[in-house]
Amino acid sequence: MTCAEFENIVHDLARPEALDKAAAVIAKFHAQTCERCAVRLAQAQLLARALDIAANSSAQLEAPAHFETALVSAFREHHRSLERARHRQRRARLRWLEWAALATAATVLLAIGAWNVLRPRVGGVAKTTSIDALVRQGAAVFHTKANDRSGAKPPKTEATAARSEYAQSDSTADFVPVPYSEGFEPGDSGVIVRVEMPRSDLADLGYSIDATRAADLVQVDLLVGEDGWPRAVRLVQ
Amino acid sequence: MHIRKAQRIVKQGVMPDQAEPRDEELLRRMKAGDDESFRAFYSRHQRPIYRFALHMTGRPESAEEVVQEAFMTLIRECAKFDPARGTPQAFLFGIARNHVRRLAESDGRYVPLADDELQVRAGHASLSYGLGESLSDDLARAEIIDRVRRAVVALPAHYREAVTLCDLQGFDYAAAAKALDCPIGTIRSRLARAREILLTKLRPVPVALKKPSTAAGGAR
Repeated sequence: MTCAEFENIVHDLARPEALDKAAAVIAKFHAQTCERCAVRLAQAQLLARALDIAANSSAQLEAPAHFETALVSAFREHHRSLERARHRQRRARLRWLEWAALATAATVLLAIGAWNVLRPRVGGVAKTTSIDALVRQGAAVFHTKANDRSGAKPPKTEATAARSEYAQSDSTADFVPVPYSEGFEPGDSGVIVRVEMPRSDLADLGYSIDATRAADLVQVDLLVGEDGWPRAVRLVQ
Repeated sequence: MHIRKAQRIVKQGVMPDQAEPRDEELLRRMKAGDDESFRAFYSRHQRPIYRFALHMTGRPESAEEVVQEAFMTLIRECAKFDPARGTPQAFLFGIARNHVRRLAESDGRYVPLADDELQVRAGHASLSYGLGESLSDDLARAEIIDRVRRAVVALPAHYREAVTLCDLQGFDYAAAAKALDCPIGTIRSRLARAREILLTKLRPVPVALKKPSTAAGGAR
């Protein structure tokens, strides 16, 4: 062993448990043969003993006894506040869910309401501006009970309820299906629209007309389906 | 078991009883809010932390402050403990070191303990080295303790930490390296350098420390 190597382990040599036995034996042998290293070992041993004495003098020292109680209280309070914070977060999440559910329910109700307002009505009270206009003209809204869709005969209709001022004062012929129109299905609804048109337009509706009187204006009732197309027509005499 | 090794284990605060829960288990329970586990963890580690702070700062009041702050920080931040990065003891020592450093920055130089304060706190002086019961030996011992403490407190912080843990609290190199979060080689080199500085500061060594038969020609 060289003096430099001895120097590296001299303090561990002064503390028996810090060095393995074989290395300690070699180092001590070197110290016995080298006066300088022997002095170094003695100094290291004295320092180790001084440090041991200082260490032992403080071995029983500890924090004041009341610290434990205070810190345990602080620990409990900390975890209580954590629990309160978690509870608040849970409530906030639930509140958000409640608002989301309310908003969804409100949206659904609005959608249902809008559908009820916007969809075509059976017994149509004031559905659109055109309906209002028809009502002003004295149109009646009726339900059909068409039994025959063949189109070979005019559909039988039964007028129910609604206003029908003109029906009481004017005589009318039976409705005649408009050529190439679709018939009524059971449950279909429509409106009767009284219009004034040149006699010549009756030709488009399937009537034969006197050409000399083509320009004359005549009143007709049009039976208009939900799609707005006239399905049948009758002359108002 | 070798006496010195037993003393070293007690100094390190390691529980030799296998039936006691390990630190990791105590910390896990603490995260769940178990105050009994916190109490057990505190009982197990408050003394090493207090002594570490005392040797580092030289003041009992500063050491108390470090203990309080270290465990309060542990209460708040035990969820941050990562077992992959080290032991709970190393985690706690890291917290204590930071508080010691902060105190050093705010308080300036430390004043080493007066030995009579130490005696009052310890309750008795340790006389386990067979240095005799005469007054002169007591005085020599007191002088040694005082001089050693002053010399340790005067060391640069990283040397002081190594000496405090290894020479004053009985940590081995591996445990000290974990507590200080540095390699074992760094601990060894810091310790070697610190001991050389202490030798310089402590010369001449009191005659009372001389053994009757030594290999050397005696201290100067």
